[in-house]
Amino acid sequence: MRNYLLVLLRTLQREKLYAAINIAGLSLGVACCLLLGLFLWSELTYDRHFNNYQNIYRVVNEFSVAGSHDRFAVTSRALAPMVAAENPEVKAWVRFQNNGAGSGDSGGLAIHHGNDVYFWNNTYFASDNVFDVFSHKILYGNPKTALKDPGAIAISETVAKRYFGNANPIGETLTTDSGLPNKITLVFADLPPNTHLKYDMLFSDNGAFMKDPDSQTARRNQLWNVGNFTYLAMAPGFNPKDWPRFSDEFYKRNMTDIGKQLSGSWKSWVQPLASIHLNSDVGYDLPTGNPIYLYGCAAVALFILVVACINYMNLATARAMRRAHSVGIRKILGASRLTLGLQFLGEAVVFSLLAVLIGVMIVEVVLRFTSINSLMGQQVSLDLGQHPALIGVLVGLGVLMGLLSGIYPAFYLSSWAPLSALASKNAAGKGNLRLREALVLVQFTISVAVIASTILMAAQMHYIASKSLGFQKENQVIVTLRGASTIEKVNTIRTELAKNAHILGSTEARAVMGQATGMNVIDMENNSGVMTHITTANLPIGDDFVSVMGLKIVQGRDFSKRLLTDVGLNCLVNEATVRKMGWTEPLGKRVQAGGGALTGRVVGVLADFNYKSLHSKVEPLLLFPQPDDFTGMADIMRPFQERELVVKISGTDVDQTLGYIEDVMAKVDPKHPFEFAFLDDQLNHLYKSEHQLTRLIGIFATVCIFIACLGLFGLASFTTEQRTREIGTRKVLGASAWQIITLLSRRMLLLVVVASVFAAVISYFAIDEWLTGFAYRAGINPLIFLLAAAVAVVVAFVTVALQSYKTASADPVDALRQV
Amino acid sequence: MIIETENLKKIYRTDVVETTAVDEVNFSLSPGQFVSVMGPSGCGKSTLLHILGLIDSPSGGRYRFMGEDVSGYPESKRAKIRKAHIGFVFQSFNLIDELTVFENVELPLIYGGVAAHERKGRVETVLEKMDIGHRRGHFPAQLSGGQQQRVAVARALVNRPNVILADEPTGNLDSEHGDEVMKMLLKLNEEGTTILMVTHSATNAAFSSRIVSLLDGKIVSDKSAGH
Repeated sequence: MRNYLLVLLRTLQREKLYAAINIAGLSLGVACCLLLGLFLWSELTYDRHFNNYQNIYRVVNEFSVAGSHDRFAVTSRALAPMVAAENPEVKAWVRFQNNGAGSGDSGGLAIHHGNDVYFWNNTYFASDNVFDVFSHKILYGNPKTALKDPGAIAISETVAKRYFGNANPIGETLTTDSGLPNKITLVFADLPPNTHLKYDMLFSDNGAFMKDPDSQTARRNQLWNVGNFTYLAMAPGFNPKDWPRFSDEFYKRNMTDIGKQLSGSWKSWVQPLASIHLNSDVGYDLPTGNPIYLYGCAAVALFILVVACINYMNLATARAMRRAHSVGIRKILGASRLTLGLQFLGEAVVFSLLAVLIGVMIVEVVLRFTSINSLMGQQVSLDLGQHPALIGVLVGLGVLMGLLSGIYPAFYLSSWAPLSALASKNAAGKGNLRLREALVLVQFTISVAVIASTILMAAQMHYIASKSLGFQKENQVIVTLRGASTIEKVNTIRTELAKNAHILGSTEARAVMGQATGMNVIDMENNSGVMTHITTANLPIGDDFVSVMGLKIVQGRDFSKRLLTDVGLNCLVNEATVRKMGWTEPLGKRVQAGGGALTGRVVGVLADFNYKSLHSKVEPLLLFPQPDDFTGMADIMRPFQERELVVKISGTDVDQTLGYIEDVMAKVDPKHPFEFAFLDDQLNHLYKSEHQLTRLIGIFATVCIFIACLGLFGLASFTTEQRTREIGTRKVLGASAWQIITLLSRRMLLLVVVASVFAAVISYFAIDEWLTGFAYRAGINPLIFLLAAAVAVVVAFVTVALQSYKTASADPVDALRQV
Repeated sequence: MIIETENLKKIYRTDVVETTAVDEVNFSLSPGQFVSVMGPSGCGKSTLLHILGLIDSPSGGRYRFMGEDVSGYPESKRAKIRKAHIGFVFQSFNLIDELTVFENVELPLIYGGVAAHERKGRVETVLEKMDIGHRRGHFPAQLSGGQQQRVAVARALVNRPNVILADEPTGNLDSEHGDEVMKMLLKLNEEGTTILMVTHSATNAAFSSRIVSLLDGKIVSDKSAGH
């Protein structure tokens, strides 16, 4: 053993280039693999930190009305207690209801403590047993009683630190815009990033205004309104497959009456907690992962490792000629094939373990000093102290990689008969030339496929960024108007804004493009004059929405301030609605909602615009005037009303214009700090995961081709060395340096070209699959494959040429003197 | 008898030519002998030595090593016999460049499964015997040709083989160092080591007790030589 290690160390010292290429390639491969592995691990272990996660399920449901099937992650608030009463397998239930509109794009819920105001996105009303069902690390407070009191609030460590530093905040109060105090009763440690339902604050939902109705009928009516995430702790042994039967019975018992009225139906199913992140395909969900991305990342990690291992195999076998002599002597001295095989395998394992060590260091540096975590949308770390099992995994990885890359060289090097090993130093390395070329072919197939895929993904992302969405997304500033009292002053705000020359217009709406719109079942008149149910998205809008957003009216007119009839459900529809209804003459068609409480007519048709992300096609949308009249609304609800103010600016003197908007807002709403967003940034956010994936794969594609080229560089150096005498002879006979370089690189280049053909096929299918996630696609341009192949050919040629140039340009006598 | 052959044959075949390198050779070697095999280049003496050393296999005939018929043995079986009973000395020394003098000599003991503590003593002894102990930490490239060959002989001896096969042991040495190596081999033989040496040098052959002459793969003479 000692003997082998010594030989290995001395070989490393003597053949520095070989050692450097091998270790660099392997450690880069390991580092990439580890990073992607950590990312995958984090993705695959979502919510598993909750103690009882195996028995916790989320209920999701589908409403089918008028031929439209809508699947929601949120259920009725009434559902949890009702199913618990009817299903003995439900041991406990917890529901979460988003607190106010403050979620996602709108900038969050304002929480005050003294003069400190911060916005928080993830705040929910939660059942008081939440800490029984979901295990948390509690820093302060009693989880059993924390949310019993209606005015109680449990906060995360981050929230506590933001307002109170390191002090114990139990007993302190935080207030929302309502001004009502919420007493802090518990501080929990921040939830790990791989938690699908993230929250910073949980309000007790025992308040009077959240109380479930007493009457059975009222509760049953409530089953048709969604808005709560419902989690059930089931008895051990519960089988999720039994749920649909229960759901059917539940529907029959509680929902058929209204279902018949709506000509609709409802069904529900349960999702195991740990699989929600990757396997949820329902609407109105929290951000979820995408298994395709995981497959993509896993494939890239595996590819990189294969490319790095192939380097080792190639270099080790190419180097065989140098070792033939020592193999021959060892065999003559009695070394068996097994002994030698184990020696070479051992070498590979030592190399790999060394590479794992360096790889771990690279990962540490990358995680510490780069923004790779935000690129992966994760917060992964390689904490070996906290996860000693990881050390075992790493050693296992090293050994596996060593075996993988060492098995062929070991088999090959130990196979020579002793005499031929001694006699034919040069021939030994040639025998497996075909195999080495096949391996290079695999490497470049992988590399070109990854490059081509990256370019194709970038092309799609560029297409999305530049596609006309049917509205103006540039230079639109979005400001959330918070509270009824601010919204009621919207006309004052708009008048003030209009005084600035750089402000070209303004409008307001319940939501803007890219944000969630409401979905409702609405009755519309068909061509025969009969009212029929249709599920449409709907968007209440303020004055000038059409002109400020740059929407195009193809039929009819915009809303008019002069026509007093433009109220209620008088509406604009998009072309998708016209298509869905099959209208020959859409204008004047009757529309009604709420069982006739709201009525109106279609006054205009808008050209389709992408109000949702380009992942989905444009679906029916109805825009109607939004009354900003809050008379009759309970005082407690007024502070939580929100609208999106859209300010169209000229694009010059942007800072000054933003400053002006801030001043206007400060006068109207001094309670809240000014926050704004640009519409195009918000829209870009819709493709965040795609952008991340594209950049991530791009980085790893570069690493992949770099490793492949390292190998090629090594191989080229051995080929050159092997053919030194031939090169000398050719030069004596008059060959130029260029001719020598092309001679040496011709075959490699041919391999890369062939690899590109295979790669084109692979990446075509991979990207075609990825593109199925988009309703709008850039298409696959064959020129991209040529581009990827060209990149690979150029890089490969430069690599080989760099190596062969030295020999090709030296005096021929040097070459002849060698060998 | 250590070595005994009967009509031993080695034929090399290519697509167009068939060359008989060893042709019906009947040869025997008794314990304690120092035999030289002589002949011009290409007469088959090295091939014969390789077959007798079990690093090559015969095409025909019989070969008994220490009474055991080894003619049809596969490489794995031959390797076992080699490491237990045969020591080799080559013209080009064939030391492993990455190993020191000590480690080179130790190698056959490692393959022979000798325990580490015992190996050290045996290597030290044989290095002293070959008068190369002071160079034990050096690498082959740091030694003169004569010193390298002394290391090679030490390596051949360390496993206490029944026979040492030497292939032109002085071929790469100047006359002074060559003479030194031959005297060493003679001394070993006088101490009881059996040696079979291939050489084309009559001077070297004169050190042995018996000279076998080979021509075109056949033994043309086999006579004793006084020294």
